[in-house]
Amino acid sequence: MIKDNEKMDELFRSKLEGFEQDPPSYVWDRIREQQAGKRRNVFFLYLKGTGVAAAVLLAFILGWQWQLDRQEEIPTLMSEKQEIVAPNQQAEGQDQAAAAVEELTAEAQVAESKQPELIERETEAKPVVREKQIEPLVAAARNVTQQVTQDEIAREQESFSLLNLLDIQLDEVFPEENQLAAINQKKITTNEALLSSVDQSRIQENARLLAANREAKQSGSWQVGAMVTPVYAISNNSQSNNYARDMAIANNNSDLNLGGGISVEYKTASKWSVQSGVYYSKLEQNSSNQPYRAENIYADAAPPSSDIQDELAYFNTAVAVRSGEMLMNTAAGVVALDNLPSNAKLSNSFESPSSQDGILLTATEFEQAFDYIEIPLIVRYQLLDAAFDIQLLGGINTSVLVANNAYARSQFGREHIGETRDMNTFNYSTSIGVGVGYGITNKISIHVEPQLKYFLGSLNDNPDVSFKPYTIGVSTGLSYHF
Amino acid sequence: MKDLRQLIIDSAAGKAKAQAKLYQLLAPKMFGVCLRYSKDETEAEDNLQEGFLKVFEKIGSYRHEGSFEGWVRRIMVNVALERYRKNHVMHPVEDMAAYEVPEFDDRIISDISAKDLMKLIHELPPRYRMVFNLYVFEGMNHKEIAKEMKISVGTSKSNLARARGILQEKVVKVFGEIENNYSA
Repeated sequence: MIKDNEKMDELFRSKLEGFEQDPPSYVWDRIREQQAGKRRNVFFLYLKGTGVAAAVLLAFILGWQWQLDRQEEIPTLMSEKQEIVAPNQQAEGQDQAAAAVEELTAEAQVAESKQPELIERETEAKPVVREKQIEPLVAAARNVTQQVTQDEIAREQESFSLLNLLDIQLDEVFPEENQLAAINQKKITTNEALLSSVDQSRIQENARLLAANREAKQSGSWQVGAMVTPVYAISNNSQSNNYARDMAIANNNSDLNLGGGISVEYKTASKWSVQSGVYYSKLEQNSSNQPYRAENIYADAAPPSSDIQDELAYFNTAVAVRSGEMLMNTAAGVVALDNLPSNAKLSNSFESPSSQDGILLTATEFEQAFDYIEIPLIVRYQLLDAAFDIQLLGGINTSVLVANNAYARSQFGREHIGETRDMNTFNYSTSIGVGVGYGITNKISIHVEPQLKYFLGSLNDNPDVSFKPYTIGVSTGLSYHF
Repeated sequence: MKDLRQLIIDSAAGKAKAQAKLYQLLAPKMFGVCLRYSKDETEAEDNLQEGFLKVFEKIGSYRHEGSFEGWVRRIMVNVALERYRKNHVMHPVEDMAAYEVPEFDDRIISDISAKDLMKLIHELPPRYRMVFNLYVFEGMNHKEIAKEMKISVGTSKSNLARARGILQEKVVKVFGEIENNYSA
């Protein structure tokens, strides 16, 4: 016996040890193709990474810019308010001071002989007053020129003339420069009290209106919406020869499903806007039996006639039974069957040379359903801003697999039988499209947006399967602007 | 030898011409290896393709120690093992039965061709084929085979015995009969 074994081993070893056979030339072509594919994948990975990074950066910059606008708007208004108040306060304060000046002028007339000296002192005092008091006020007045009304400008000018007059008189009464400065300092701190409450509220209201106007013009706006999207998915799949040989037949090239979700969009002051949101979508793959495998049941005997094979066509879905699991190859990946469909029986061929050593005897059709939650990052460009606005849009979507189910459909109805193996949880796709919007009111508009979406990688991780459907969806919905 | 070394270095650098030459040099031998581990030519082609993709991917890690051909061959065997593990982790059956197989004449050995034997190997069930290959051609013992295939040593032994039994039976049945016919 041992001698026989050795003889057997030696027979095979001697004949097959150095066995050589030229592989078909297309094997090398396929190797080159796959190498190129891997390089493409690296490029797409890089592109994906760059796209995500750019999108995050864009979102950050827009968010930061928006936040900055909001923060800066309020302090600017406060300082403007103070600046507006300053000349008014100055004016009112100077009204009172003017009365005192008039009195003082009368006294001053007594000492007319001192006039040349007064002029002389005026020339000395003026630079001090202008530098320390007038110049800041002029600067403040310059800042608010665009915001104050004509009336305020007139009052401002009046204030300056009174101030000039006041300077002269004060200078006469208080000859010491440091004393004048002290008085002026005191006036500034008490200006609040001099401003009437009506004026203060009016200034605040003006500032608020100004801010609202500016914000509307410069800081963009937000838009939230709800969309319903019928999606037409076109199957795009390929498998290795070995896998495809035992694969259930893919009996549909397309399917129609309903998706939808909510969107959030930020419109910048220019024609660009950025949109994100949360969407639901669904993809399907349907399969049926492999008629040509009917003869395999009779592999060791004479195969039945073609008529009989046709009748038995449904008795032949190839499955593999491994570690207590039943696995079936489909176009979208390997389905692991938890339950045998009601009208199915399993036949097993333990010593079959095929990897699929089982046969599912059934007339059932199979349906794989994949539910995804999508988070898009879409950039839009406004082409037309009229009664109908038209936008070009493009971006990247992250699809998260949330449900993965396989069903059997037969005369017993639709039964859950398991799930598809090796499905990727996170998938990335690019989308391009056109958006058409119509404003029903100032705040609410209706949208219709056809979009084409293409997955960047296979939805299934199995190296023998590439399942990359592309979808055409027409989103329809309403949005609210604020 | 120097040429092969340069070819390996250039292939590691991603030069397409060098990779093509290396493929031309080794593909027939490696296809022979893949054929032994496969159920048919299509599976062997898939394994050869996957194997060479791995060779070009990992060639940078080859240290120029030992036979390069042996290194590539080991990759091909590993690809076949990976495919087997993925598709055939199943049936923890201990099959220790003794098989009665007919004896065959020594004359058969000289008449039978390599292609005929390859066909018989293809017809073996996957696990028997795998154990037979690892034992006979890779020189592994049952402990090593059990580890590689994640089966018990007993299963490895019984699978080898069953593989030999099936092969011997077929050799005698197909080629023995031809021999008898000729001699009759």
